[in-house]
Amino acid sequence: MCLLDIDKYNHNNEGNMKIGIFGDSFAARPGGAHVPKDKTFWVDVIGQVHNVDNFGKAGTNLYWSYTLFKENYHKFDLVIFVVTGFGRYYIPNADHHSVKHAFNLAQINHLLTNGKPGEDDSYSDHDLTILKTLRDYKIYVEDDTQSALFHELLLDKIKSIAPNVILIPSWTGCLDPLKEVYKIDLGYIGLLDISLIDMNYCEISFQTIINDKRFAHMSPANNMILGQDLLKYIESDRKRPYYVDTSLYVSPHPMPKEAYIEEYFTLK
Amino acid sequence: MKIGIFGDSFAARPINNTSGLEDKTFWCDVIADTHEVDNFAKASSNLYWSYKLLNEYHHQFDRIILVVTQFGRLYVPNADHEIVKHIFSIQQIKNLLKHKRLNETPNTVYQSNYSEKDLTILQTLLDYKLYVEDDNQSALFHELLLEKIKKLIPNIILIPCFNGSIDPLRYLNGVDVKNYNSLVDISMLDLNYCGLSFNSIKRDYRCAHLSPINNLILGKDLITYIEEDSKKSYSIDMSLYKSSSNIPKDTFIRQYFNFY
Repeated sequence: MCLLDIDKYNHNNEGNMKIGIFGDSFAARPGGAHVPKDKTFWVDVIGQVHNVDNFGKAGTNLYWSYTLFKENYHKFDLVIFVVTGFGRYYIPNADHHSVKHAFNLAQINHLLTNGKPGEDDSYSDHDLTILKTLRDYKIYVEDDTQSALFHELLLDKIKSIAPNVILIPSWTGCLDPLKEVYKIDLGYIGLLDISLIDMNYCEISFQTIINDKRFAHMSPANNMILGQDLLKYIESDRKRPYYVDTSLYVSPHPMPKEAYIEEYFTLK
Repeated sequence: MKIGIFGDSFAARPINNTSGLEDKTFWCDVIADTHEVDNFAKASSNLYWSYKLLNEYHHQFDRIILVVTQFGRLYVPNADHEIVKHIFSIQQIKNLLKHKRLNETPNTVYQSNYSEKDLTILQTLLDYKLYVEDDNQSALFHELLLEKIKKLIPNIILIPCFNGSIDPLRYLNGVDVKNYNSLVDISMLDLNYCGLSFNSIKRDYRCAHLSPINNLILGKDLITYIEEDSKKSYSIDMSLYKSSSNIPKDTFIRQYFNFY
Protein backbone atom coordinates (compact mmCIF):
# COMPACT_ATOMS: atom_id res chain seq x y z
CA MET A 1 0.00 0.00 0.00
CA CYS A 2 1.32 3.49 -0.82
CA LEU A 3 1.71 5.82 2.10
CA LEU A 4 0.47 9.35 2.09
CA ASP A 5 3.20 11.93 1.53
CA ILE A 6 1.75 14.52 3.86
CA ASP A 7 4.69 16.93 3.51
CA LYS A 8 4.14 17.10 -0.24
CA TYR A 9 0.56 18.21 0.21
CA ASN A 10 1.32 20.59 3.01
CA HIS A 11 3.72 22.50 0.80
CA ASN A 12 1.57 23.01 -2.24
CA ASN A 13 -0.40 26.19 -2.82
CA GLU A 14 -3.78 24.60 -2.24
CA GLY A 15 -2.81 23.03 1.09
CA ASN A 16 -4.97 23.55 4.19
CA MET A 17 -8.13 24.34 2.34
CA LYS A 18 -11.43 24.18 4.17
CA ILE A 19 -13.25 21.25 2.61
CA GLY A 20 -16.86 20.21 3.24
CA ILE A 21 -17.87 16.63 2.49
CA PHE A 22 -21.51 15.73 1.90
CA GLY A 23 -23.23 12.51 0.97
CA ASP A 24 -24.39 9.05 2.00
CA SER A 25 -22.67 6.04 3.58
CA PHE A 26 -19.86 6.21 1.02
CA ALA A 27 -18.78 9.35 2.86
CA ALA A 28 -19.74 8.26 6.39
CA ARG A 29 -17.90 6.66 9.27
CA PRO A 30 -19.89 3.56 10.27
CA GLY A 31 -21.50 3.60 13.68
CA GLY A 32 -22.24 0.58 15.84
CA ALA A 33 -20.25 -1.49 18.29
CA HIS A 34 -18.09 -3.44 15.87
CA VAL A 35 -15.32 -1.33 14.45
CA PRO A 36 -12.56 -2.94 12.37
CA LYS A 37 -8.92 -2.82 13.56
CA ASP A 38 -7.81 -0.76 10.60
CA LYS A 39 -9.92 2.38 10.52
CA THR A 40 -8.44 4.02 7.45
CA PHE A 41 -11.09 6.31 6.02
CA TRP A 42 -10.67 8.35 2.82
CA VAL A 43 -12.20 11.39 4.52
CA ASP A 44 -9.50 11.23 7.22
CA VAL A 45 -6.81 10.88 4.55
CA ILE A 46 -7.93 14.21 3.12
CA GLY A 47 -8.32 15.52 6.68
CA GLN A 48 -4.61 14.94 7.30
CA VAL A 49 -3.83 17.63 4.74
CA HIS A 50 -6.85 19.88 4.71
CA ASN A 51 -9.32 21.15 7.24
CA VAL A 52 -12.30 18.83 6.68
CA ASP A 53 -15.90 18.91 7.94
CA ASN A 54 -17.79 15.74 7.12
CA PHE A 55 -21.60 15.84 6.77
CA GLY A 56 -21.89 12.35 5.25
CA LYS A 57 -24.62 10.14 6.75
CA ALA A 58 -25.56 6.57 5.90
CA GLY A 59 -28.93 5.93 4.23
CA THR A 60 -29.53 9.56 3.31
CA ASN A 61 -30.96 10.85 0.05
CA LEU A 62 -29.79 13.69 -2.15
CA TYR A 63 -32.41 16.12 -0.81
CA TRP A 64 -31.11 15.65 2.75
CA SER A 65 -27.53 16.34 1.66
CA TYR A 66 -28.71 19.26 -0.48
CA THR A 67 -30.34 20.99 2.50
CA LEU A 68 -27.12 20.64 4.53
CA PHE A 69 -25.04 21.73 1.56
CA LYS A 70 -27.20 24.83 1.00
CA GLU A 71 -26.83 25.79 4.63
CA ASN A 72 -23.07 25.21 4.85
CA TYR A 73 -21.35 25.35 1.45
CA HIS A 74 -20.30 28.99 1.89
CA LYS A 75 -18.09 27.99 4.83
CA PHE A 76 -15.77 25.98 2.57
CA ASP A 77 -13.15 26.59 -0.09
CA LEU A 78 -14.14 23.35 -1.72
CA VAL A 79 -16.99 20.88 -1.48
CA ILE A 80 -16.84 17.13 -2.17
CA PHE A 81 -20.29 15.72 -2.78
CA VAL A 82 -20.73 11.96 -2.79
CA VAL A 83 -23.90 11.63 -4.83
CA THR A 84 -26.25 8.84 -3.82
CA GLY A 85 -28.89 7.19 -6.02
CA PHE A 86 -32.40 8.42 -6.76
CA GLY A 87 -35.52 6.98 -5.12
CA ARG A 88 -34.38 7.28 -1.50
CA TYR A 89 -36.59 9.05 1.02
CA TYR A 90 -36.24 11.69 3.65
CA ILE A 91 -39.24 11.73 5.98
CA PRO A 92 -38.78 14.49 8.54
CA ASN A 93 -42.07 13.52 10.12
CA ALA A 94 -40.83 10.05 11.20
CA ASP A 95 -39.76 9.38 14.79
CA HIS A 96 -36.78 7.04 14.29
CA HIS A 97 -33.77 7.94 12.16
CA SER A 98 -33.87 4.63 10.27
CA VAL A 99 -37.42 5.46 9.14
CA LYS A 100 -36.53 9.07 8.37
CA HIS A 101 -33.90 7.80 5.95
CA ALA A 102 -35.56 4.78 4.35
CA PHE A 103 -33.56 3.94 1.25
CA ASN A 104 -35.07 0.99 -0.61
CA LEU A 105 -37.82 -1.59 -0.60
CA ALA A 106 -35.62 -4.39 0.77
CA GLN A 107 -34.60 -2.17 3.71
CA ILE A 108 -38.20 -1.14 4.37
CA ASN A 109 -39.27 -4.80 4.42
CA HIS A 110 -36.32 -5.62 6.68
CA LEU A 111 -37.25 -2.85 9.12
CA LEU A 112 -40.88 -3.98 9.16
CA THR A 113 -39.83 -7.57 9.90
CA ASN A 114 -36.90 -7.01 12.25
CA GLY A 115 -37.60 -3.69 13.94
CA LYS A 116 -35.09 -1.01 14.85
CA PRO A 117 -31.53 -1.93 13.87
CA GLY A 118 -29.50 -2.70 17.00
CA GLU A 119 -32.25 -1.66 19.42
CA ASP A 120 -34.61 -3.77 21.50
CA ASP A 121 -37.73 -1.59 21.58
CA SER A 122 -40.12 -1.55 18.65
CA TYR A 123 -41.07 1.26 16.28
CA SER A 124 -43.85 3.66 17.25
CA ASP A 125 -47.22 3.04 15.60
CA HIS A 126 -46.61 6.24 13.64
CA ASP A 127 -43.34 4.87 12.21
CA LEU A 128 -44.92 1.50 11.42
CA THR A 129 -47.64 3.30 9.46
CA ILE A 130 -44.98 5.27 7.60
CA LEU A 131 -43.01 2.11 6.79
CA LYS A 132 -46.10 0.30 5.49
CA THR A 133 -47.07 3.35 3.44
CA LEU A 134 -43.57 3.57 1.97
CA ARG A 135 -43.62 -0.13 1.11
CA ASP A 136 -46.94 0.23 -0.74
CA TYR A 137 -45.81 3.50 -2.32
CA LYS A 138 -42.69 1.78 -3.67
CA ILE A 139 -44.71 -1.15 -5.00
CA TYR A 140 -47.78 0.57 -6.45
CA VAL A 141 -47.18 4.29 -6.88
CA GLU A 142 -43.59 5.37 -7.33
CA ASP A 143 -42.59 6.45 -10.81
CA ASP A 144 -38.83 6.13 -11.37
CA THR A 145 -38.84 8.78 -14.06
CA GLN A 146 -40.19 11.44 -11.69
CA SER A 147 -37.85 10.43 -8.86
CA ALA A 148 -34.89 10.45 -11.25
CA LEU A 149 -35.89 13.85 -12.65
CA PHE A 150 -36.12 15.39 -9.17
CA HIS A 151 -32.68 13.94 -8.37
CA GLU A 152 -31.24 15.35 -11.60
CA LEU A 153 -32.77 18.80 -11.06
CA LEU A 154 -31.33 18.88 -7.54
CA LEU A 155 -27.93 17.95 -8.89
CA ASP A 156 -28.15 20.78 -11.45
CA LYS A 157 -29.04 23.14 -8.61
CA ILE A 158 -26.05 22.00 -6.54
CA LYS A 159 -23.75 22.55 -9.53
CA SER A 160 -25.21 26.02 -10.11
CA ILE A 161 -24.70 26.98 -6.45
CA ALA A 162 -21.10 25.70 -6.28
CA PRO A 163 -19.65 25.29 -9.78
CA ASN A 164 -16.38 23.90 -8.39
CA VAL A 165 -18.08 21.12 -6.41
CA ILE A 166 -16.40 17.72 -6.79
CA LEU A 167 -19.09 15.17 -7.54
CA ILE A 168 -18.38 11.50 -6.85
CA PRO A 169 -21.08 9.02 -7.80
CA SER A 170 -21.84 6.41 -5.15
CA TRP A 171 -22.75 4.12 -8.00
CA THR A 172 -23.39 4.13 -11.72
CA GLY A 173 -26.36 6.33 -12.59
CA CYS A 174 -26.16 8.59 -9.54
CA LEU A 175 -25.01 11.55 -11.67
CA ASP A 176 -27.53 11.15 -14.48
CA PRO A 177 -30.33 8.94 -13.23
CA LEU A 178 -32.67 9.58 -16.16
CA LYS A 179 -30.14 7.93 -18.44
CA GLU A 180 -30.10 5.01 -16.03
CA VAL A 181 -33.92 4.82 -16.07
CA TYR A 182 -33.85 4.82 -19.87
CA LYS A 183 -30.99 2.29 -19.81
CA ILE A 184 -28.60 4.53 -21.74
CA ASP A 185 -24.92 3.66 -21.40
CA LEU A 186 -23.40 5.92 -18.74
CA GLY A 187 -19.71 5.48 -19.39
CA TYR A 188 -18.57 5.87 -15.79
CA ILE A 189 -18.44 3.89 -12.59
CA GLY A 190 -18.99 4.77 -8.95
CA LEU A 191 -17.67 4.01 -5.47
CA LEU A 192 -19.83 0.90 -5.35
CA ASP A 193 -17.56 -0.66 -7.94
CA ILE A 194 -14.62 -0.24 -5.55
CA SER A 195 -16.74 -1.68 -2.77
CA LEU A 196 -17.57 -4.72 -4.87
CA ILE A 197 -13.90 -5.62 -5.36
CA ASP A 198 -13.83 -6.94 -1.77
CA MET A 199 -17.27 -8.46 -1.97
CA ASN A 200 -16.51 -10.30 -5.17
CA TYR A 201 -13.28 -11.55 -3.58
CA CYS A 202 -15.32 -12.86 -0.63
CA GLU A 203 -18.10 -14.12 -2.93
CA ILE A 204 -20.78 -12.21 -1.05
CA SER A 205 -23.21 -9.45 -2.01
CA PHE A 206 -25.03 -6.60 -0.25
CA GLN A 207 -28.08 -8.87 -0.23
CA THR A 208 -26.26 -11.52 1.81
CA ILE A 209 -24.93 -9.26 4.57
CA ILE A 210 -26.60 -7.51 7.50
CA ASN A 211 -23.73 -5.27 8.43
CA ASP A 212 -20.83 -3.74 6.48
CA LYS A 213 -18.19 -2.55 8.94
CA ARG A 214 -15.87 -1.18 6.25
CA PHE A 215 -15.44 2.57 6.32
CA ALA A 216 -17.38 3.98 3.36
CA HIS A 217 -17.97 0.35 2.23
CA MET A 218 -14.34 0.07 1.17
CA SER A 219 -11.26 -1.77 2.44
CA PRO A 220 -8.64 0.26 4.34
CA ALA A 221 -6.30 0.01 1.34
CA ASN A 222 -8.93 1.34 -1.02
CA ASN A 223 -9.93 4.10 1.41
CA MET A 224 -6.28 5.17 1.37
CA ILE A 225 -6.10 5.05 -2.42
CA LEU A 226 -9.32 7.03 -2.83
CA GLY A 227 -8.18 9.66 -0.32
CA GLN A 228 -4.82 10.03 -2.08
CA ASP A 229 -6.40 10.14 -5.51
CA LEU A 230 -8.74 12.89 -4.34
CA LEU A 231 -5.84 14.83 -2.85
CA LYS A 232 -4.08 14.66 -6.23
CA TYR A 233 -7.24 15.79 -7.98
CA ILE A 234 -7.74 18.67 -5.54
CA GLU A 235 -4.18 19.77 -6.24
CA SER A 236 -4.76 19.64 -10.02
CA ASP A 237 -6.48 22.36 -12.08
CA ARG A 238 -9.75 20.37 -11.73
CA LYS A 239 -10.82 21.27 -15.24
CA ARG A 240 -12.04 17.76 -15.98
CA PRO A 241 -14.66 16.20 -13.66
CA TYR A 242 -13.39 13.74 -11.09
CA TYR A 243 -13.91 10.15 -12.08
CA VAL A 244 -13.33 6.89 -10.24
CA ASP A 245 -10.54 4.90 -11.90
CA THR A 246 -10.99 1.30 -10.76
CA SER A 247 -7.59 0.31 -12.10
CA LEU A 248 -6.09 2.07 -9.05
CA TYR A 249 -7.88 -0.10 -6.52
CA VAL A 250 -6.82 -3.42 -5.02
CA SER A 251 -8.49 -6.60 -3.83
CA PRO A 252 -7.88 -7.88 -0.26
CA HIS A 253 -5.72 -10.73 -1.63
CA PRO A 254 -3.75 -12.44 0.00
CA MET A 255 -5.84 -11.95 3.17
CA PRO A 256 -7.87 -15.16 3.59
CA LYS A 257 -11.46 -14.74 2.52
CA GLU A 258 -12.88 -16.06 5.81
CA ALA A 259 -10.72 -13.70 7.89
CA TYR A 260 -11.79 -10.74 5.75
CA ILE A 261 -15.46 -11.64 6.11
CA GLU A 262 -15.10 -12.03 9.86
CA GLU A 263 -13.38 -8.67 10.19
CA TYR A 264 -15.69 -6.61 8.02
CA PHE A 265 -19.08 -8.24 7.57
CA THR A 266 -22.01 -9.69 9.48
CA LEU A 267 -23.68 -12.24 7.25
CA LYS A 268 -27.42 -12.91 7.27
CA MET B 1 -49.08 32.73 -34.51
CA LYS B 2 -49.08 29.08 -33.47
CA ILE B 3 -49.80 29.00 -29.75
CA GLY B 4 -49.57 25.98 -27.47
CA ILE B 5 -51.49 26.04 -24.19
CA PHE B 6 -50.52 23.75 -21.34
CA GLY B 7 -51.64 23.36 -17.75
CA ASP B 8 -54.44 22.19 -15.48
CA SER B 9 -58.19 22.88 -15.27
CA PHE B 10 -57.63 26.65 -15.47
CA ALA B 11 -56.79 26.06 -19.12
CA ALA B 12 -59.18 23.14 -19.72
CA ARG B 13 -62.75 22.89 -20.93
CA PRO B 14 -64.84 20.97 -18.35
CA ILE B 15 -65.13 17.41 -19.60
CA ASN B 16 -68.80 16.76 -18.90
CA ASN B 17 -72.17 18.44 -18.66
CA THR B 18 -71.21 21.61 -20.51
CA SER B 19 -73.89 21.16 -23.16
CA GLY B 20 -76.49 22.80 -20.90
CA LEU B 21 -74.47 25.99 -20.50
CA GLU B 22 -75.90 29.00 -22.30
CA ASP B 23 -72.56 30.77 -22.57
CA LYS B 24 -69.50 28.61 -23.15
CA THR B 25 -66.99 31.44 -23.56
CA PHE B 26 -63.53 30.04 -22.88
CA TRP B 27 -60.36 32.14 -22.84
CA CYS B 28 -58.46 29.62 -24.97
CA ASP B 29 -61.17 29.90 -27.67
CA VAL B 30 -60.93 33.70 -27.49
CA ILE B 31 -57.24 33.46 -28.36
CA ALA B 32 -58.05 30.86 -31.03
CA ASP B 33 -60.27 33.41 -32.79
CA THR B 34 -57.08 35.33 -33.61
CA HIS B 35 -54.30 32.73 -33.49
CA GLU B 36 -53.84 29.04 -34.23
CA VAL B 37 -54.16 27.31 -30.85
CA ASP B 38 -53.46 23.76 -29.65
CA ASN B 39 -54.61 23.10 -26.10
CA PHE B 40 -52.88 20.33 -24.10
CA ALA B 41 -54.31 21.26 -20.70
CA LYS B 42 -55.92 18.67 -18.48
CA ALA B 43 -57.90 19.11 -15.28
CA SER B 44 -56.21 17.88 -12.06
CA SER B 45 -52.85 17.41 -13.74
CA ASN B 46 -49.61 18.34 -12.04
CA LEU B 47 -46.65 20.35 -13.29
CA TYR B 48 -44.61 17.26 -14.13
CA TRP B 49 -47.35 16.06 -16.46
CA SER B 50 -47.37 19.43 -18.28
CA TYR B 51 -43.55 19.44 -18.35
CA LYS B 52 -43.55 16.09 -20.13
CA LEU B 53 -45.89 17.44 -22.80
CA LEU B 54 -43.94 20.70 -23.09
CA ASN B 55 -40.73 18.77 -23.58
CA GLU B 56 -42.32 16.83 -26.40
CA TYR B 57 -44.27 19.55 -28.21
CA HIS B 58 -42.92 23.03 -27.40
CA HIS B 59 -40.89 23.25 -30.61
CA GLN B 60 -44.11 23.14 -32.67
CA PHE B 61 -45.23 26.57 -31.42
CA ASP B 62 -44.28 30.23 -31.78
CA ARG B 63 -45.51 30.99 -28.28
CA ILE B 64 -46.37 28.83 -25.28
CA ILE B 65 -48.79 29.63 -22.46
CA LEU B 66 -48.37 27.52 -19.33
CA VAL B 67 -51.01 27.80 -16.66
CA VAL B 68 -48.96 26.83 -13.60
CA THR B 69 -50.75 24.61 -11.11
CA GLN B 70 -49.94 24.18 -7.42
CA PHE B 71 -47.27 21.91 -5.92
CA GLY B 72 -48.13 18.62 -4.22
CA ARG B 73 -50.27 17.15 -6.98
CA LEU B 74 -49.43 13.61 -8.00
CA TYR B 75 -49.14 11.92 -11.38
CA VAL B 76 -49.35 8.14 -11.06
CA PRO B 77 -48.73 6.62 -14.49
CA ASN B 78 -49.09 3.13 -13.03
CA ALA B 79 -52.80 3.65 -12.18
CA ASP B 80 -55.48 2.11 -14.38
CA HIS B 81 -58.11 4.84 -14.25
CA GLU B 82 -57.47 8.30 -15.66
CA ILE B 83 -58.88 9.93 -12.51
CA VAL B 84 -56.46 7.99 -10.26
CA LYS B 85 -53.51 8.92 -12.48
CA HIS B 86 -54.06 12.62 -11.67
CA ILE B 87 -54.51 13.26 -7.97
CA PHE B 88 -54.73 16.84 -6.81
CA SER B 89 -55.60 16.80 -3.10
CA ILE B 90 -56.21 14.68 -0.05
CA GLN B 91 -59.88 15.67 -0.14
CA GLN B 92 -60.17 14.33 -3.68
CA ILE B 93 -58.59 11.01 -2.61
CA LYS B 94 -61.04 10.73 0.29
CA ASN B 95 -63.96 11.47 -2.03
CA LEU B 96 -62.82 8.92 -4.59
CA LEU B 97 -62.46 6.22 -1.92
CA LYS B 98 -65.78 7.10 -0.31
CA HIS B 99 -67.82 7.38 -3.49
CA LYS B 100 -66.46 4.17 -4.94
CA ARG B 101 -67.38 2.22 -1.87
CA LEU B 102 -70.83 3.74 -1.40
CA ASN B 103 -71.51 4.08 -5.12
CA GLU B 104 -72.97 7.51 -4.44
CA THR B 105 -72.32 9.14 -7.78
CA PRO B 106 -74.00 7.04 -10.46
CA ASN B 107 -74.26 9.82 -13.03
CA THR B 108 -70.83 11.36 -13.00
CA VAL B 109 -67.43 10.62 -14.45
CA TYR B 110 -66.59 8.97 -11.14
CA GLN B 111 -69.09 6.19 -11.70
CA SER B 112 -66.56 3.64 -12.99
CA ASN B 113 -65.61 0.99 -10.52
CA TYR B 114 -61.96 1.28 -9.74
CA SER B 115 -59.75 -1.77 -10.05
CA GLU B 116 -58.34 -3.34 -6.89
CA LYS B 117 -54.98 -1.91 -7.90
CA ASP B 118 -56.41 1.61 -8.14
CA LEU B 119 -58.08 1.26 -4.74
CA THR B 120 -54.72 0.19 -3.29
CA ILE B 121 -53.09 3.17 -4.97
CA LEU B 122 -55.73 5.55 -3.58
CA GLN B 123 -55.36 4.15 -0.06
CA THR B 124 -51.57 4.38 -0.34
CA LEU B 125 -51.78 7.96 -1.58
CA LEU B 126 -54.09 8.87 1.29
CA ASP B 127 -51.59 7.47 3.81
CA TYR B 128 -48.73 9.06 1.90
CA LYS B 129 -50.40 12.47 2.12
CA LEU B 130 -51.25 11.98 5.80
CA TYR B 131 -48.01 10.52 7.13
CA VAL B 132 -45.16 10.81 4.65
CA GLU B 133 -45.35 13.78 2.32
CA ASP B 134 -43.03 16.67 3.06
CA ASP B 135 -44.28 19.94 1.56
CA ASN B 136 -40.77 21.35 1.35
CA GLN B 137 -39.62 18.55 -0.95
CA SER B 138 -42.76 18.72 -3.11
CA ALA B 139 -42.44 22.50 -3.39
CA LEU B 140 -38.75 22.28 -4.25
CA PHE B 141 -39.41 19.75 -7.02
CA HIS B 142 -42.13 22.05 -8.40
CA GLU B 143 -39.82 25.07 -8.27
CA LEU B 144 -36.86 23.30 -9.90
CA LEU B 145 -39.15 21.97 -12.61
CA LEU B 146 -40.40 25.48 -13.28
CA GLU B 147 -36.79 26.72 -13.55
CA LYS B 148 -36.12 23.91 -16.03
CA ILE B 149 -39.18 24.90 -18.09
CA LYS B 150 -38.09 28.56 -18.16
CA LYS B 151 -34.65 27.53 -19.42
CA LEU B 152 -36.22 25.29 -22.05
CA ILE B 153 -38.63 27.98 -23.29
CA PRO B 154 -37.31 31.42 -22.28
CA ASN B 155 -40.27 33.38 -23.70
CA ILE B 156 -42.93 31.14 -22.15
CA ILE B 157 -45.97 32.94 -20.72
CA LEU B 158 -46.50 31.69 -17.18
CA ILE B 159 -49.88 32.25 -15.52
CA PRO B 160 -50.17 31.19 -11.89
CA CYS B 161 -53.31 29.26 -10.99
CA PHE B 162 -52.84 29.74 -7.25
CA ASN B 163 -50.89 31.82 -4.81
CA GLY B 164 -47.56 30.04 -4.59
CA SER B 165 -47.78 28.35 -8.00
CA ILE B 166 -44.75 30.28 -9.23
CA ASP B 167 -42.64 30.33 -6.04
CA PRO B 168 -43.97 27.58 -3.80
CA LEU B 169 -41.04 27.61 -1.35
CA ARG B 170 -41.55 31.28 -0.56
CA TYR B 171 -45.27 30.63 -0.24
CA LEU B 172 -44.64 27.69 2.08
CA ASN B 173 -42.33 29.72 4.27
CA GLY B 174 -44.75 32.66 4.37
CA VAL B 175 -42.37 35.00 2.53
CA ASP B 176 -44.05 37.83 0.61
CA VAL B 177 -46.96 35.55 -0.24
CA LYS B 178 -49.24 37.98 -2.04
CA ASN B 179 -46.92 39.54 -4.57
CA TYR B 180 -48.92 38.44 -7.62
CA ASN B 181 -52.50 37.61 -8.54
CA SER B 182 -53.52 34.21 -9.76
CA LEU B 183 -56.38 32.71 -11.74
CA VAL B 184 -58.00 31.45 -8.56
CA ASP B 185 -58.42 35.08 -7.49
CA ILE B 186 -60.52 35.69 -10.60
CA SER B 187 -62.40 32.46 -10.00
CA MET B 188 -63.19 33.53 -6.44
CA LEU B 189 -65.02 36.67 -7.64
CA ASP B 190 -67.96 34.43 -8.63
CA LEU B 191 -67.64 32.10 -5.67
CA ASN B 192 -67.57 35.00 -3.22
CA TYR B 193 -70.59 36.54 -4.95
CA CYS B 194 -72.45 33.23 -4.53
CA GLY B 195 -71.24 32.74 -0.94
CA LEU B 196 -69.49 29.49 -1.91
CA SER B 197 -66.03 27.96 -1.66
CA PHE B 198 -64.28 25.25 -3.69
CA ASN B 199 -64.74 22.90 -0.72
CA SER B 200 -68.50 23.28 -0.82
CA ILE B 201 -68.98 22.36 -4.48
CA LYS B 202 -68.61 19.04 -6.28
CA ARG B 203 -68.59 20.27 -9.86
CA ASP B 204 -67.60 23.57 -11.37
CA TYR B 205 -69.03 23.83 -14.89
CA ARG B 206 -67.44 27.19 -15.62
CA CYS B 207 -64.86 26.95 -18.38
CA ALA B 208 -61.46 27.23 -16.65
CA HIS B 209 -63.30 28.00 -13.37
CA LEU B 210 -64.09 31.48 -14.67
CA SER B 211 -67.35 33.15 -15.64
CA PRO B 212 -67.93 33.72 -19.37
CA ILE B 213 -67.24 37.43 -19.04
CA ASN B 214 -63.97 36.83 -17.20
CA ASN B 215 -62.94 34.18 -19.74
CA LEU B 216 -63.47 36.83 -22.42
CA ILE B 217 -61.46 39.44 -20.51
CA LEU B 218 -58.58 37.02 -19.85
CA GLY B 219 -58.48 35.90 -23.49
CA LYS B 220 -58.39 39.48 -24.75
CA ASP B 221 -55.79 40.52 -22.19
CA LEU B 222 -53.55 37.66 -23.29
CA ILE B 223 -53.96 38.55 -26.97
CA THR B 224 -52.90 42.12 -26.15
CA TYR B 225 -49.90 40.85 -24.19
CA ILE B 226 -48.83 38.49 -26.98
CA GLU B 227 -49.19 41.13 -29.69
CA GLU B 228 -47.33 43.78 -27.68
CA ASP B 229 -44.44 41.30 -27.49
CA SER B 230 -43.73 42.67 -24.03
CA LYS B 231 -40.48 41.85 -22.28
CA LYS B 232 -42.24 42.06 -18.93
CA SER B 233 -43.66 38.89 -17.38
CA TYR B 234 -47.39 38.48 -17.80
CA SER B 235 -49.32 39.47 -14.70
CA ILE B 236 -53.00 39.27 -13.85
CA ASP B 237 -54.57 42.69 -13.37
CA MET B 238 -57.52 42.10 -11.05
CA SER B 239 -59.01 45.49 -11.83
CA LEU B 240 -60.01 44.13 -15.27
CA TYR B 241 -62.23 41.38 -13.93
CA LYS B 242 -65.88 41.48 -12.92
CA SER B 243 -68.13 39.72 -10.48
CA SER B 244 -71.32 38.18 -11.87
CA SER B 245 -73.59 40.49 -9.89
CA ASN B 246 -75.75 41.17 -12.95
CA ILE B 247 -76.97 37.54 -12.76
CA PRO B 248 -79.11 36.50 -9.76
CA LYS B 249 -77.03 34.43 -7.36
CA ASP B 250 -79.36 31.40 -7.49
CA THR B 251 -79.36 31.41 -11.28
CA PHE B 252 -75.55 31.55 -11.38
CA ILE B 253 -75.27 28.71 -8.86
CA ARG B 254 -77.80 26.55 -10.73
CA GLN B 255 -76.05 27.19 -14.03
CA TYR B 256 -72.47 26.58 -12.97
CA PHE B 257 -72.19 24.50 -9.81
CA ASN B 258 -73.15 21.08 -8.51
CA PHE B 259 -73.00 20.11 -4.83
CA TYR B 260 -72.12 17.07 -2.69
